[in-house]
Amino acid sequence: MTRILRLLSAVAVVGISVVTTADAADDPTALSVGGALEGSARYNSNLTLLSADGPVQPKSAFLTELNGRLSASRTLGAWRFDAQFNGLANLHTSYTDRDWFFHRGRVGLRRSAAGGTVELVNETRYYTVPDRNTFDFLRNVALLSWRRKLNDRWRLHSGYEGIITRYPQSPFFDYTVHGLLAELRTRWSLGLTTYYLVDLQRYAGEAQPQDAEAEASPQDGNRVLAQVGFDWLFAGRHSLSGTYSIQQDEADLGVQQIGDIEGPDGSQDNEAEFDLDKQKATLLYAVPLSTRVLLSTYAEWIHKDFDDEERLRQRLPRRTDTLLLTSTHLRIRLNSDLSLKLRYLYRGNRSSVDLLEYGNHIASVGVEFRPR
Amino acid sequence: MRRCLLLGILWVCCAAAVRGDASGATASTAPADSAQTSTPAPADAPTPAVADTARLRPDPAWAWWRWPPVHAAIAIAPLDGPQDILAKEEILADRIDALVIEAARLDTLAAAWQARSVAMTAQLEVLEDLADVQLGGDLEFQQRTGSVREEVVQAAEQITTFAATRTALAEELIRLRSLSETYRQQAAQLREEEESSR
Repeated sequence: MTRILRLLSAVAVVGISVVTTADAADDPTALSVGGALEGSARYNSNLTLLSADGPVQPKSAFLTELNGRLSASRTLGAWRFDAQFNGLANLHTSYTDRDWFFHRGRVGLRRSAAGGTVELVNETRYYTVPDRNTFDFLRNVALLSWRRKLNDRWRLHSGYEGIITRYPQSPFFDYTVHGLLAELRTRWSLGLTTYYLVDLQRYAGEAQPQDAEAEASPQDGNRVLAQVGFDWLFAGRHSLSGTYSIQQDEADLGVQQIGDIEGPDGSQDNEAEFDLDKQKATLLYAVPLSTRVLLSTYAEWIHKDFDDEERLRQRLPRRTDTLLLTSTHLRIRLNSDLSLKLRYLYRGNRSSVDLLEYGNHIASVGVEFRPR
Repeated sequence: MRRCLLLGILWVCCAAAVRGDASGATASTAPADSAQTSTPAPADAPTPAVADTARLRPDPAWAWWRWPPVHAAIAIAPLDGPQDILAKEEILADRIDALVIEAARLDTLAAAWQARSVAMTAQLEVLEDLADVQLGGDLEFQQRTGSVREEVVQAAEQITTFAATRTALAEELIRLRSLSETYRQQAAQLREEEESSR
């Protein structure tokens, strides 16, 4: 009964988003509101769930996913306001009755200032597994940034970021991040842009001394990330994007990773990881095959090398993970409001720790209703 | 925490100070460059409404409107004969030719921006789909999505600019062609008057 109520409430939330859909005409200052509702059926060949004692034996599973999106934007004088809300319900129909829910809200405000554009973005995420709250989390990211065109070719983007992550049921995992980022974008032609990003972060865990017995997030650490990337539009409508990044994370003793080992379906990256060296490469290709069909494919390779002082002391193998994810997505517009979405995804991990190895095939079929 | 916040604000302020008014300089030099590289053919004076638009939008797409005005060179003097008027009509014809070339260039650029807009919109759609399955993605992914979102807005603005400049250019061409026709008729009329007076 509780499950049905939750399902109905999720549908109500996304339903509201669709009902409130409205389109701004050509007037750029008008309020523009949009929404979408998506229902999909998913098969996961090798679902791994965490229990209090660690991961349980993986099994194949069928899931139903409901996803609702609501977005709004408006220009008020010199200010541009935009907001998005995303609610996701992941309902397991076999293997386990533990559903999970995810909400994401983003508010952005920007205006021209100091010869460029100043932007303030705040994003809040909330993830919950009712009745099993160990890894419920609330994450808030605030980003104050400034973009400026230096000349016809170069653009600068710099800013300050503040990330607050809270685990309501496990406060010893809480941590806060402050960081500075600078990105240079170079437009070589109308179709080719490259960018170079440096992100410096310092974080502090909120664990109290009495939590020392428990595994807690590191009390102090810093993270340096350097990324290069490109966006290439070629042959009229093809787009290819790629990134390569190196991240170095130095932290006090604490947990290496918080939350699900596998992370969300679409990426095996996890920001709640500490004390490691990480390399990551991504490629994203998209092409509209026709006015109705959009094909995209995404690949992600991650190599993580954890600094396992404790493990080495206990003569356990050093933890090194090499993760690969590939995904192919086909969106077919059935009519102006309705789309069919097909996705196939493979993800796997080759780890020096046997327990952490996995490989899954995930296939999903969904229908999206997005009034235009 | 306060120290970090202060550092962040300082970072943004310093970055703002580094380049001074670079974008303003770019905006003001772009038309000058365009004027130098474009054919400095004489033309009639721009209509005030469009000239104001050009001043408000210092975009290279409006470069043609900032070509050196040559209305003085084509102004008909009271003692001008048919040959003088035809010579001035030649100047007008040169400007019309230059504008036709500029219109073709703008059409090519507009088509390229249109294609860019379609591709970027598709890319944004894909990134937003990907954000859903990545539960939002990491900070770099959000940066990337933000950049693409801004590129989509920029492409839409650029297409609007091209549409506006193209409309103004088409109107200017109609006006100049009409003026050219008037000059030709005036020259023919004067020639007839001269011949009849002989």
